[in-house]
Amino acid sequence: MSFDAKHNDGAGAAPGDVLLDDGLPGDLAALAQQLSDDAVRLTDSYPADAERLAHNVRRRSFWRDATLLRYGALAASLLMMIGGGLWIAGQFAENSAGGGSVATKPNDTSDESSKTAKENVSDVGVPMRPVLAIDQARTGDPINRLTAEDVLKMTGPQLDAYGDIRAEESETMESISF
Amino acid sequence: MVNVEKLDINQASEEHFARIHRAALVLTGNPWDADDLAQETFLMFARKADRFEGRSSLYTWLYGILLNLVRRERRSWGVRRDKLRILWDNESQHGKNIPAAETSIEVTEWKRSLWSYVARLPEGQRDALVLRFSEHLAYDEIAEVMGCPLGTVKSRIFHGLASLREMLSREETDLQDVPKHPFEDLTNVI
Repeated sequence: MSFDAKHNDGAGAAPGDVLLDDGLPGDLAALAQQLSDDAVRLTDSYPADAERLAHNVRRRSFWRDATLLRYGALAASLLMMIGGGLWIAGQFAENSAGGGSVATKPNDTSDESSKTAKENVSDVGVPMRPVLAIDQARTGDPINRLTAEDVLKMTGPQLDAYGDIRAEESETMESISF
Repeated sequence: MVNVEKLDINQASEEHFARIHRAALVLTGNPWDADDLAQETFLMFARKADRFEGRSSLYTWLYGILLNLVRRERRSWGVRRDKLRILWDNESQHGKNIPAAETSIEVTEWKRSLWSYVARLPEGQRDALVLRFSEHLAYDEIAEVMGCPLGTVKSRIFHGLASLREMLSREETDLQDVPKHPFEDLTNVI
């Protein structure tokens, strides 16, 4: 690439000078002209198929919008699923917490007052059917709703009777061992 | 001024596609990138047409979008070139013979033109020269596109041309240093 030497005859400008095109020194003005000519030549060599490209733009614009819509719908579905899951979990937690005293360890016998009716019943051997009947008649909820005191109150005679039997048994055992 | 309400992609591409494509061609040096960038410019326009307030001409706004896209592309080209260079170095160490990945795909016509030299100038000077001498925008329009004062535009154009002249004269000197024929002196003697 060589720059036409015949244009290099213009007056030089000091660095920092700011000039309009008309005021450019000869060599720079010629460079400017050559830049302009080169741009025209380039455009002639590689003309844009404006119609085809504009068509592409419209097509891509449409598909881009469609893609955005698809992603939008997907995001909305996911949000709905997450929301639904959270709502169900919330309902479950509310149901679990609403029943009053709930035992955490089924076989823990250290704290009698925190036991559920089911556990107490198992411990003392009271038949399940009357307790279930009582519970359902009272609340309509599953058996775990009842506390130990409730069960004692409602099935007192049976429990007392069983307690007496146990006392007799333990006395018998003591007498045997001594 | 343009009536903002009437803006649509069909009209805009009909009126301005050719000039945006030419600027992209001059800036990138090959028709493939020019096609992509010009299309991307109009896609951007389609998406953000509502942001155009009509205070300037539509084409100056489009040039602004194009220059931003070119800037972004140049950054990614730089990253790609670095990655290819690393790959090339690694492959060379293993003694494999692969084609030169860095081989330029720029077309010959562009390489022969002054615009290939303009591409080596700093960004501000390059953009100003393209807008002035390829797109023939007025100085105040260039200032609007580039978002800088009028004086800065004039200065960039002047210094851009001066740098270009220096680049060309340096190249001319380098070529003169090389003998035209390896046995040139010998042939004279004989």
